[in-house]
Order: sequence, then C-alpha cells, then structure tokens
Amino acid sequence: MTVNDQLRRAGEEIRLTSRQAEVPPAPTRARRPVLAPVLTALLALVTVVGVVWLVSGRSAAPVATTPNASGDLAMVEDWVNGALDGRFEEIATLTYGEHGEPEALASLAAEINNRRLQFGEPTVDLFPFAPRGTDLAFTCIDLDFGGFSIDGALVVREWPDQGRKLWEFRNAMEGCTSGPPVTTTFPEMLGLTEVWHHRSSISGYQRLGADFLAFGSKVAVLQGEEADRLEVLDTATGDVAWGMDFPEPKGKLLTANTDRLVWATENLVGVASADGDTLWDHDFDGDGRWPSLAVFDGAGLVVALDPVMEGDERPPALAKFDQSGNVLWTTELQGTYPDENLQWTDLLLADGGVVVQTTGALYRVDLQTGTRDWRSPFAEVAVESFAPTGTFYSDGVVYAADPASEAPGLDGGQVMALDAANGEAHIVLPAARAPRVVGILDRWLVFTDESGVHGQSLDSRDVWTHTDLGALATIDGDRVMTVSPTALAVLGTDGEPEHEVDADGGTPQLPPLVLGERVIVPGWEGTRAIDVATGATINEWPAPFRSPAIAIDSSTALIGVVGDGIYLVRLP
Amino acid sequence: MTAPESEATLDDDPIISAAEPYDSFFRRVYRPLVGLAAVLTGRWPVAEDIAQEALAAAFRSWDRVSRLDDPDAWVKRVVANHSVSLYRRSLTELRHTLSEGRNSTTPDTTHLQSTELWAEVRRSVSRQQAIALALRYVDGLSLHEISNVMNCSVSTANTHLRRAHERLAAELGAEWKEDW
Repeated sequence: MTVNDQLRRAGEEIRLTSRQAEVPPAPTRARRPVLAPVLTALLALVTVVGVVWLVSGRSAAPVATTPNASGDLAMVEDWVNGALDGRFEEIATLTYGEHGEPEALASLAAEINNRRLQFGEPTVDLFPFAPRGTDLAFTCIDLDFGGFSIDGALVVREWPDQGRKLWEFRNAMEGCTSGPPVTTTFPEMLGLTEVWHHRSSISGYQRLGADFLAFGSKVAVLQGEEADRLEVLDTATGDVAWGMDFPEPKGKLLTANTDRLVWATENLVGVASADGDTLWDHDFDGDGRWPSLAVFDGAGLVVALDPVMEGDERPPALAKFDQSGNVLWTTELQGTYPDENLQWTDLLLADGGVVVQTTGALYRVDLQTGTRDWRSPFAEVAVESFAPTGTFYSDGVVYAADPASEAPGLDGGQVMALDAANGEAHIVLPAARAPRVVGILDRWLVFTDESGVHGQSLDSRDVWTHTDLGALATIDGDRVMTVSPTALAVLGTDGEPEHEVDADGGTPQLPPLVLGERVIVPGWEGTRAIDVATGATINEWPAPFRSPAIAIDSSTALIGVVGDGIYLVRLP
Repeated sequence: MTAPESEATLDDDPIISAAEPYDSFFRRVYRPLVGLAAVLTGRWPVAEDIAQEALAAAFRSWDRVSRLDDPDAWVKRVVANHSVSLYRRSLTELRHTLSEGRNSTTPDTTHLQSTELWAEVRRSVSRQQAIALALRYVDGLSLHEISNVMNCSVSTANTHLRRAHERLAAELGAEWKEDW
C-alpha cells in the first residue's frame, strides 16, 4: 500500500471519528427563543422564592431545597445541563434583580455559553469573572463546596463530601448557606488591603485583552461592553480623570507617558495624557496591517505593525510617526519565512535604534532612517508566541530570549546577549522551552525556562542553575524570587539560595509580584500570597489573575483581574 | 471630550449582514477543525480545546474574519498553527490535566488504527509538512486550497506535500506518488 493510500485511510478514519465530537454551543449573544418557556417558568419560581425570602426578612439565611424537590427545580436542572452542554455536574439557579426578566435570563444563558466555550472548564477559568461586586467566587471554599456566580445571577453549589447538592435562589452576595454574608473581596482574600477598585464593564472575549496601562500618576483602562471606551484613572484615588469613546469597538492601549497616550482601533490615535484631547489620528484601514506594539522615541513614536490575515497580507513592518502623527518611515521586516505571519512580542529602544522581536527573529532598525541594521542569528524558525520574552537593553547590549524551541533538531531555545550596534552575539546560552529573560542582578544575567532558573556572570561567564526551583522568577532588589508548584526560593546575587521553602499550591502562571516580604503568585489553580520568610501560604484566592500586576512601591501594587477590573492594593 | 464622528456599527455594514452568521459557521466547521487538530497534536481533548479557542478567536474578530474571502481557511490556519506550537500545546495540556475527571465529549479514539501513522507524521516531517498532509488527507483539500490555508504559494504547498511523502515513504518503507 502506498503512503498516499495509508494517509487517505488514516484521514478518513479521523474524519469519521471527529463526527462523534459533540459540538458545543457557539459563543453568540443571540437570544435563545427555545429557552423562553423554561425561563418564564423559572422567572415565576425565582419571583416566588424572592418574595418568600423578602417576607421572611432573613438577610443571610438562604432559601434552599434539595434537587428534585419539585418539578420546577428539575426543570432548572435540565435547563442548566442543556445550556452548559451537560458538562457541569453542578446545579445552577438564577436570582432576581436585574436579570429577573426572561430576555435578560436568555442573554445570561448565552453569556454563560460564551464563557464556557472560551475557557472549557469552570473551576479553572470562570472564577476570574466573579470576584466581587454582585458576584461570588468560591467564597466558601473552606466549607468544601464549589460555587460561582456571574453578574450576581448564577449560583452553583454542591457539597461533594456530603454527597448532596443544594439549590439556591438568592442574591449571590448574600453569602454562604451556613455562614455570614459574604463581604470578602479579592484583595482581602490575599491578605491585602484594597485601596480602590475600578470595575470593568467589558464583556465576553474582549475581557481577555483588557490590560491596563500605568503612566505617571495615572492608569488607563479599557471600558465599555465591547472595549469601546477608554478611561484614565488617578492612581492614588481610582477616580476617573477623563474618558473618551472609541469610534469602533475593540480598542487597544499601546503606550503612554505623562504627555501622550496612544490607542488603536482601526486608527492609530495620539491623545493628550492630561485631558484626552486628540493630537493626531492616523487611519490604518486598508493598509492590511494593524498596530500591535508601540514605543515613544522622544517626540516621535515607533509602532510595530502586524499583518492582518485577509488573503493578501502585507509583511509585518515598523513605522515611525512624528509628533503630529505623520509617517516618517515604514520598514517591512519580512524575514526568511514568507509563509509565516509573524507576531511581534517585544519592542524597545536601543542606542539610537529600535529593536523589535518576533519569534525566530530579532531586528534592529535605525531610528532616524528606518534602515534595517541587523537581524539576529536566532534559530531560523518562526514559532507562535503569546507573551513577551523579556527582551531588554542595557549598556549597549540587547538581552533576548529566542523561543524557537520547536525547530527541528532543537531541544529548546536560546538566551543571547547581542551587541546593540552590530548584532554580534556576546553570549549564546542554550535554554529549554519557553525561555524568558528576567534581568540583570549584580552583573549576572538571570533567565528562566521550563527547566528552572539560571544565571550567567557577564564577567567571568560562570553559570549557576537551579532545575528544582521553578521556572518563573522576579528580581526584587538584590535577590531573585523564584517560584515553582512546590517551592519558593530566594536567591542571592550569586544564585545561592538564601532560603528555600515548600510552598505547595499550584503551578505559577506569571512571574511573582513582590510586596515587602510577601510574594503574590498567580497560578493556574489560584493566586497565593506567600510569606517570604516562612514559605507559608498566608492567603489564597481561587482565581488566577491574568492581567499584569505592577508594584507601585514596596507595599502597593496595581493588579488587573480579567473580567473584574483593576485594583490598587497595599500591604495592611 | 467628545466621541469621534464615526457611527459605523456591525448592523449598518452591508458586507457583514450578508456574511455567514457566526453560529452557523461554528457548527459547520467545528468537527473538521477538531479532526485537523487531533492529527497534528495526537490528543483529542487538546484538539477540542484548540478548535474551540480558534473559533473563539474568530468570534472575537468576526467582523473582520467574516469579510475574508475564505473564513474557513483563516480558522484552519489558526488551528494548524496552534496545533503545532509546542508552547501552546503545553498550555492546553496543562489545562486538560487540570480538568481531568470532568465530563468530556471527546470521541472514543481507543480503536483508531491510524494513530500510529499520524504519530509517525508528527515525528518524521516538519510542522509545515505535517499541516499540509493533514489538510490534504483529513480535510481533503486541493493543492490550491492548501496553499490558501497555509498562506503560501501553490508551489510551496506542493513542495511541502512532496517532501512529506518522501520522508514518510523512507520511514515506512513504502512507495508514494504525486497524486494531488
């Protein structure tokens, strides 16, 4: 049998098998008329329960019953299981309030499907959406049950250890069945004090890109259901200093300083940081490329442009704008991979040039002319990357991590130190997958990869490595904080552990945030606050934050929580 | 501060209103995408994740994706690229690990005879070649369609297929022919 025939048979078998895959609900906001009768009945039920609850005057005690206690409850269970494609074993109920209308309930059902589809599993991913406001997020985890709410409207509860489930019809914020009303907020659950919280109104998938941008004494956040609004907050108070609506949804914050803020939709727009007055507006529609990263160069602006996959894509490029938004130069940077749509991951200024990185390539372009000065000797394979690799510039040297770990014949990527003037490699270090430059500590280049944390002396070229201390690290003053699923270590300038402690609590997802002697570790299973001295978990919040966290000083930080908004927190 | 002048909305856009509704697109392409990702990853649950994430990406940009000449090619490209990305695969595997024990709609694949062959494909050929093979034999695409999905010239796609067949033939000790 020829190879062709074998492949043909194998392909047919895959096609037939894939037809068994259950098609999940599509993420659409369209209402579901088929649910209307159920939802109407549910509304009636919710209303009755609500009235009972109100008349009873109980502020915290729930109105609850067991499954199958009535036909209505079974109907709710059918609806939940149907709406969630049978994947949730738990039982959901709907409360009254703003969602106490059939249309609102139908929209909520669609929204639930959107979120389930996006994230696949509730316990891992839904929780970031519900930390406070009218929401509840696993607030009774110590009682060994699971629960969550969405927009104050959906509660899922069960007690696995007792083998029973509880249906509840009450406001999600009324608290646990057997406990006091829930008032704990996300910061408090991590042992931090909330200074202010600015709630995000972005819905659906737009939330994933809703990072914030801190500059000067302000912080910019995306708002609006479709990320169609920009709000600039006073960092000290959380008050809205100014806001503006975008002409289109899906806005993106690119960069800002105390003078200017740059955002993009179909257009690239520069506004005054003080009041939002538009300084210039460049229309990218029809260019086939869209801004993805930007960095100020004095009064000018350098922007990395990603190709838009529309059939006749143009190569990725850099463009420089003057202070009036006029294009000074555009340099296309298609590398040796014309078939690839490269995605920029890092953009920075370096000694009269601008260094831009994509997976598999690192370029330096002259700031004045746009001329390509050099291209890195990275492994010549373009791979997709979803996060910056920590590339930075210092004293004439560009430190970069090449994540091209899936290149044929390569077991991992590389970490390099390149002469910013000519691209010559001073240091080339092999790395495992997912290399990331952490920084320089006392003349040691510190980087991480999937195998651990490593350092190389920039002078003696000595190397230290710890393959048992995790793969995410942060430089904090004169020490390196590194975390793994099982340990927290504090390394000295020479890489020697000052101390190492067990810190069991899940896989770290982002580099840790250090506040004083407390390390905040965002992980897949939740976010932990760990005491540096003892390694003990001080507190834990069952939701990972996925947006960035920025330490304002040694005791204060901005933390963005996807779907919930931004917090300014401080040590108590 | 006043809002800029443009009042364009999706509902006002005649191109958008004539495009295939997302829900229909989703139902039509979901299963083929799962098959494509399954071949390229060797993991059916992961394949479902990747298909869903690719469709979520399409949803996020549906106003633009739906305007494309071939939205199917776009989402297949996303699936193919994600499937062969080691980084992405590690994330989805982690997610799957975390979700073990929960209900799954994953098809029963224990009986599949083609598993080893696709594993050989992933071991033996480059990622671009693997994508070309999957598009050819799982999706049944023509050479032109493959080049469209892979965003390359027809001759490049042909080269991917030819080299993949050569390599596989050497590994399997079998003949091959250029019949696409």
